[in-house]
Amino acid sequence: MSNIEELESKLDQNFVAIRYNVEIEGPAIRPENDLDVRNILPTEEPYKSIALAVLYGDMEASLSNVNDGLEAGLSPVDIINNGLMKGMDAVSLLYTKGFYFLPDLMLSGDSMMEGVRVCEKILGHKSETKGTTVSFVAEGDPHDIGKNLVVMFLRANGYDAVDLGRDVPTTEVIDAVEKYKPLLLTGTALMTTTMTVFPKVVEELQKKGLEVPAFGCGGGSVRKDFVESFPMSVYGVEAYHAPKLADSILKDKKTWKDLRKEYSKIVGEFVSEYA
Amino acid sequence: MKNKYGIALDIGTSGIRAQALDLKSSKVISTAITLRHPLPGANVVDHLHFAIEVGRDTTHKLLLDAINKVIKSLNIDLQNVTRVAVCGNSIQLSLFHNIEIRDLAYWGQHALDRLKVTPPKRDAIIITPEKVDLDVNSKAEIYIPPAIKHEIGADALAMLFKADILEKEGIFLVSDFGTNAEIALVINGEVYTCSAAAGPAIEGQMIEKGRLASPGTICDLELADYAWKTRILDDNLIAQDGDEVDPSNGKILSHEEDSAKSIGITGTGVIAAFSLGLDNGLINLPKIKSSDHQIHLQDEMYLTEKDIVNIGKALGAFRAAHLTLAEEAGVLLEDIDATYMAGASGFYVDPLKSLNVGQIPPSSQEIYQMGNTSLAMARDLIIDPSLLEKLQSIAKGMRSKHIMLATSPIFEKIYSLELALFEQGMPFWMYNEWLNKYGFQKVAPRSTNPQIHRIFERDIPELGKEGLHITKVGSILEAKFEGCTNCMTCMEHCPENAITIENGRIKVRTDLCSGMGCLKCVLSCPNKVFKYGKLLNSEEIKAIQIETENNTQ
Repeated sequence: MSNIEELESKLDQNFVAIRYNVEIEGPAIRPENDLDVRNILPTEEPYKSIALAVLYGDMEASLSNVNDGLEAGLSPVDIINNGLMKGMDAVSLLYTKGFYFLPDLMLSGDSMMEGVRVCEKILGHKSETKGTTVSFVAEGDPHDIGKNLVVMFLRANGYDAVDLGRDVPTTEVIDAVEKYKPLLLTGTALMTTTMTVFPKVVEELQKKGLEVPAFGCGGGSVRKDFVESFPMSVYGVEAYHAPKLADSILKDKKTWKDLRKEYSKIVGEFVSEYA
Repeated sequence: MKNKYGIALDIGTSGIRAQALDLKSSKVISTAITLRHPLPGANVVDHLHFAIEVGRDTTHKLLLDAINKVIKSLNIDLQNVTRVAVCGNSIQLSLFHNIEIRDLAYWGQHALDRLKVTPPKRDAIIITPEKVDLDVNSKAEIYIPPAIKHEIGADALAMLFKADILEKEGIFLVSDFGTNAEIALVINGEVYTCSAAAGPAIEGQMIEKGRLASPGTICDLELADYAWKTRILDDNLIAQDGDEVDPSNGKILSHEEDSAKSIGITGTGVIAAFSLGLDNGLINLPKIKSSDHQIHLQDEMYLTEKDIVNIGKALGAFRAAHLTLAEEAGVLLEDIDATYMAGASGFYVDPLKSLNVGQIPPSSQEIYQMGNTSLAMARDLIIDPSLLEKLQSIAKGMRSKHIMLATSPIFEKIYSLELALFEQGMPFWMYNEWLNKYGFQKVAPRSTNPQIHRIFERDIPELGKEGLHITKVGSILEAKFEGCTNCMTCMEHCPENAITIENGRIKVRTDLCSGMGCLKCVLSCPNKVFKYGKLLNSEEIKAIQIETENNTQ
């Protein structure tokens, strides 16, 4: 017992999700009992159960709850907005509070997206989103963990995030910009050899007379001064900043120039790279 | 009759090591090493990128200039050298051989198709000194060992060959720790390989006070009551006792009179601080619980929270790689019969601390520290050149499967757990619960009585009667840029003071320059005329000048 107590004391707060099946002495706070989470979660069924399944990253429960709701005649749009997205909002909140970790986020994100997919199938078209974004990993680079996180955060925040995958030739990126007219384009690279395509992407966009409000660049070896050496680009520090940048473009009509100047303010936290 | 010599060469990402051998007695005569690689940059991708930017020929020349300098300081008559064997990873060997490298710079087909690159074979080959401009007797033979596969180079072959486990029954884990670690899990002769881009932190680079292993660097720390006892490398690269210091504030609790003054911390020193810090609670990831959030070591050396996260992520890459290999191979890490650690970093690290921080599986029972296996295999080739053919058949006959970590869904899941541990402070029991939830094996508890087999005192066992010589390497790259106004902005922005400007000519010292990972010179140029790719080796500039002079005559 003492061992677990010691481990537990290393947590910032006495917060242990029951799903870890860890027996501890004293009160274990379930994630849904967190006061701020309570304010987010819906109170009526079946939305509550749908949101809880996402909160717990339980894909099976999420799918069966969504299917039950659809059979009961609920609208797919309501299931997405009042159930799935609310669960994901709570997950994002617990993540920023430091109670949830990266893997929680990934699992909950998958559960949410599976639910959305089922709803969209019934709907017959894509559900209403805040807007479209496009993400890719630089040509010649296989490292996509960062890109996957960016896509997940964007989707969790209500964006239709188009995922072009890894090792994406520049021509494909240009085609996607032409097709989707995204409000945010993101490119990531781990290797210094491959990040050199970012300025080339901008060059090709300009040649075609295309423009995006911002082209977020980030990943392993990518640095701010490199990114700011060409136009249209913004250096992205953390994957979870992506939806905040997208929000500011959407709501406040911010441009890449504004994002460079007001990055810390827009993402709502101190960012040493921008200090 | 005059003595005939052989030279064994290891080209590593962090430096060149050379040894002269007397062919008659097979004894080592002398050893020369460099404390950095002659090309700018901190990792092998930087070297690759440099070669792509400035051109393969210039890069090859810079590397060979350095190697020629190193072998000169071996203190033998180079005209009597009849055999040279060289080992290293595929990138270094390709730069040495001056063959195609771009297939190693990009992953996937898109970039290679666009650039019309045909990957070379990288089989075992014997070449002449003239082919690569190596300053030894022109009749000497140069042996280049084969790569196992495209992704797995001769350095990995060396560690497997020297561990001698390819024909043994059992489960063995072999790793060559470095900025780009080669890892192999061998199960009854079947080899599962991967390479983990652990990053330069593991060699002490990208750590504020970090340094490559060299005289005066802190290479290990031991617990002495509440203090940490420093271990510092002496001039012969052997660890000696240093001061006992309170890590939370830097107070010296016991001074060691004979201790060398410390000039930096090696990767193994950082691992030691990480291990001790986790044990006594000074580190509570991702924080350091001292008043100034630093860990203090001898002679005002310190580690920051950023350093701790960097080394943590490097170690996390190893643990995630080991688990991924084991899951792919369908074995449990706790069933491993023996763990082999190759390379300088795997030699100087205290294996008990490696167990503690996850650099090797905590359940490892039999641990072998092999030292520099690339150099050892090069020595074997010098003594018996017929080994080259044997290595070729081993490499081609190997039943091996390469796991590309970057595209492995298993690795992605596990590495995200590592990021949660080191960046977000997720507790380790949650890490294990997550592994369980994903259906993977848990990390087995620490072995109670691990056996450590360390045969030699140094990563290079025999330095020879002439001893160790440390060779300084570096060349000057030079250019005159059209439109340069001599504003000196590039010079002021260079964090390494590598740039000087004389009469409108920019000169860059390659031994100081951080290369493609930095490029502050290019990025800070107000007129955007600084083109790194236009820099040329001073020797080439002289050659061009002579040529134009001849033309004008």
